[in-house]
Amino acid sequence: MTQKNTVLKHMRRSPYQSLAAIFMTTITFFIVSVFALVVLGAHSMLAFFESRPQVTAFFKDDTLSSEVETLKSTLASTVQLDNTKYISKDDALEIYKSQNSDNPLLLEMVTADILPASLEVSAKNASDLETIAAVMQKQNFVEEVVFQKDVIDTLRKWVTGIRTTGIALSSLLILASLATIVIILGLKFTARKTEINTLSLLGATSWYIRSPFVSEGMIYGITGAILGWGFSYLTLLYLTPNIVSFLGDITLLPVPIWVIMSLLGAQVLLASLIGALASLIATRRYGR
Amino acid sequence: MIVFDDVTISFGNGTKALSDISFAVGEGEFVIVEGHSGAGKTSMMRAVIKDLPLSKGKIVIEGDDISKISAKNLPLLRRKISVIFQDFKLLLDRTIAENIDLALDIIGLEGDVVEKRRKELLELTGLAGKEDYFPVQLSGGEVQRVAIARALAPQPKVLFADEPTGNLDAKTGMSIIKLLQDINEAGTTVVMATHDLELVKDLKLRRIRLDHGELAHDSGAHHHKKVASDSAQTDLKDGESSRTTELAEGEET
Repeated sequence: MTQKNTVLKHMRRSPYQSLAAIFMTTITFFIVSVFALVVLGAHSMLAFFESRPQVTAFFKDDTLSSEVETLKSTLASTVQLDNTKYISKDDALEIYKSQNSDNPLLLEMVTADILPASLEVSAKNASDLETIAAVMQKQNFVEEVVFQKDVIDTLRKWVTGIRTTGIALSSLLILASLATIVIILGLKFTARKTEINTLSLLGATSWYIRSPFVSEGMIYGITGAILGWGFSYLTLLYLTPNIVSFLGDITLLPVPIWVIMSLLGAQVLLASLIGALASLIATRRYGR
Repeated sequence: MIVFDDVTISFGNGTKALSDISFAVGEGEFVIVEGHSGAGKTSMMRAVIKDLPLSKGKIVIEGDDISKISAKNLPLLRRKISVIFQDFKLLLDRTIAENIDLALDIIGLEGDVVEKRRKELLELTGLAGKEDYFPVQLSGGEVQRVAIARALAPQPKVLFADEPTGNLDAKTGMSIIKLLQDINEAGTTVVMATHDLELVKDLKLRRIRLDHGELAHDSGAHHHKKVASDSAQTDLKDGESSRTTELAEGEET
């Protein structure tokens, strides 16, 4: 049996220590995965809202098409517009029909006459939204202006808050995992002091002595990362129907497979680094 | 080949394990270091592999002053100078084959080469068929042979044996000495430390006697001057730096 083969043997000999290390790293990477998915979802939601017409003006029934054209020109000369889209009463009815195609009763009750025509305007800069809304509200043929800036601002605050909390909590848990692996490998290193001394007297290099501990640390990290990722993915799959129904038009799910696999790859890499660093700290006496 | 030059080893409490010891061992020699318990035999062996620091003097092995060997290059020294420890230092949770394989793995051997070399060592030491035994399942003489087999694994130039007959009966002890003589005849320099003067009294070998850390007698004292002189000439010819490079290259391989 060579040094390379002793790693699993030593893990089996102290199963509770090994389980403690794996448990800690699993919790860490579960939380990291959850926050990563939540932040990614929140960013997608933000992008969804930002890509939508950001200011919508609903016109009175007697509004003339020339007045709408004048409004478009005024807006174009005031700010840099990304896109403008006029939705007539008939267009509005078509949209209504497509959204309620599974409810014939609602379709029968609505005609094009009762739906207002509207103008959806998106700006290149979010800061221009207020100007656009102000110009629209000044027009006497405008019934109502729906302005999404407040929604986006609130969402941005939430994303920032979630991200900050996620980074802080993940950092603390990563430190706790690092400390756990350092303590466990340090105990194992001390318990094998006689064996390590013999190896040294037989001419083993520092790396030969330390490498099984580095492998062990990396195994703890990688196992925890895979389990944490796996549990978070299962949780996401379990909650998918509820999330889809809650989000309505916003299509965040299913999360693309490349995103899930990239998350796994990044976590395995991070876990390897944590495991290797922890083992090098635990065996630093032999690195000198 | 090995020169002890005015070597003193002191401990923190002022006790001297070795006191101004000077002698030399030439290539291919078989030397017996004799002395009672506490004479300094084990300290001498530990000093040779830099497991114990010198307080004074120097030990030169093949022209290299071992005090100048860096921690990085120390493993190479320990592969060149093998020690059979008094307490064997076998890994008790591993079989005989695994103990020997460990020493072969340390020097970087793999696969079939390991198996072939292990078989050679087990046959040489008379342990063929015992590879799957654990050390606790063997007799004292057999355990000693395992320690010898493991020490020979890196094909050392010098073999230091610390009390290899220590706890053995006379017959088994002689068989171990015979084995060491065979190893010596195959070209390995052997230095054997023993307190059993009776066991080695009839052997026609060079003897160095230690008494309370001091060199009491060296039957090959004339040899010391010649070897030390040859070593100094080699130093001048090859230079220290080329040897350091050799060690560094060996370390990388």
